[in-house]
Amino acid sequence: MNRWFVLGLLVVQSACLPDKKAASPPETPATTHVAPVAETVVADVSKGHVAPTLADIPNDEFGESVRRGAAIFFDTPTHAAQFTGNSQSCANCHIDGGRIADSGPMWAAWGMYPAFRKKNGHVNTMEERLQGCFTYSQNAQASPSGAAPPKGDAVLVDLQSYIFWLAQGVATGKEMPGRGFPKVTRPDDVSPARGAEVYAAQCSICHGENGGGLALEDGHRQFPPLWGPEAYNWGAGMHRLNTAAGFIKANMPLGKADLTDQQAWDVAAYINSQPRPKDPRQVATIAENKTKNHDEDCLYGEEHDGKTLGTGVARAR
Amino acid sequence: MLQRVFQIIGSMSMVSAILFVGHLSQAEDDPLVVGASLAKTGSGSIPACSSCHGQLGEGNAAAGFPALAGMNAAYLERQLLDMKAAKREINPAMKPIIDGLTDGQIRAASTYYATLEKPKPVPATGDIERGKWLVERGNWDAGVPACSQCHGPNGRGINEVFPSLAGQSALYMTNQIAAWKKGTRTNDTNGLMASVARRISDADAAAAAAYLQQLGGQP
Repeated sequence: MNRWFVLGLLVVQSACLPDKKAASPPETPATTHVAPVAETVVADVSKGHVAPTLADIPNDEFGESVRRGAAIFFDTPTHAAQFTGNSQSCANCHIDGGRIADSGPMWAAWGMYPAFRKKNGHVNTMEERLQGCFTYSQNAQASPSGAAPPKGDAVLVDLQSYIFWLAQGVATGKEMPGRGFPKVTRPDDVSPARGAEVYAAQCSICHGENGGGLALEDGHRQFPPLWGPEAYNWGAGMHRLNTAAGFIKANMPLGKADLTDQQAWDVAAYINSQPRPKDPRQVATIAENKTKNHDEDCLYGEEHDGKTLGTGVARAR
Repeated sequence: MLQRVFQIIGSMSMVSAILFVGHLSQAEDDPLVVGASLAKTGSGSIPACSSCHGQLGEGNAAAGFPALAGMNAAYLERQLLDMKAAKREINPAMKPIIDGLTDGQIRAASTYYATLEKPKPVPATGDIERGKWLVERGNWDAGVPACSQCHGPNGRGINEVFPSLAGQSALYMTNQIAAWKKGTRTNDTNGLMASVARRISDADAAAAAAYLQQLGGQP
């Protein structure tokens, strides 16, 4: 418990949660059987940028590339099968295909690259940034090709077409409101054990008791895995508790998103204390990799339930 | 010798008789048999389910009577039990029926209807194109997930928590959205659908429902 308290001292910036509630005018019932609506909750779309929808994609060669990029974004294991080593799609974390503020909107990322990244110590283009998604969130090491798409690959071209298209009209180099996930103030005490209770009550209905998500009989990935061999690996951004708490607070449960800050952090800690594929940057020991690459709010290398987190679980081949 | 033959014949008939009685009581307990009987002929003062829900369990799209055919059995059972417990708004015509059904009959009817073929497409009027978009992509500008994100591709249904929507009566579905908005239906798991319903405009509810009705049941 003491360890959690110590972690709790790592204070994150104050919350800047969006006000997503705004009443719309009552609508006239379309038919007599429908009762008048007292209140309709709508998102604050004034925040950031209202991206075009897929319905607006132009019917030309560029539009085709945008469409292919969108297809990859929404179902990565199917449309970028060579480079995807788990069951994760971009759109699992970038809600609505990267269109929505506070849900990792792609339009807020496009104009911020090239950028220096502490993660690899040099200036990254958007293309390299996307390779990073495959390496960590899609665990490309376990994919048929064994690696992220190489620079210039059509997968990366099409993804960039899609992202560029979402970002049209957004100023280059401008930090947009709603970028990434909201920062949620870290509570004094973060508890994976309490998070397990939140998970059982609110999350397991879709993501499963074992965190494996749900694949339908025909292979359709209905609900994404959160841990285990089909989930993001120990190097993905989502393994950081602050990132996961922000995502969860803004988006989960899907269509409801009403967890408290404490619940969001607790369940983030629970999910990120579970086994997942190993950090591909680990060359020597977990302890060495922890020092080198995990100077962040995460549980990598910690002892949990008698096991060292970060050992890694692999797909059965 | 003759006595021995009679003994054998006697014991054989005894075995047949036991088997026959066993078969009869098995049929009486078989939920599929009980369910089929409720569906087709009713029981006592309870009319046949098919008198409102259709010969094939396809429902009555125009009247807003829901399709039952091919729905998840556990989902159907829970809905009927929740109607009995007044957790769901209920059509007045259904009230005496639900009050008259035993829990065993509810389970039997649910089991039976789950085995039937999913409903055929029924033409629907409305903004079908918008409905398709809502089913596949949602309206995230208002915080509304795509129907398919929980109810499966083309709304084909996932399990007892996320039922099939495809081929369901559009009027029934818009009535349910309205009931969640009003708070007269409260039996959704974790209040998920109530939360989503409050974000759906009436026009979008009608569009999505129309699209799903004309889609027909999805495998």
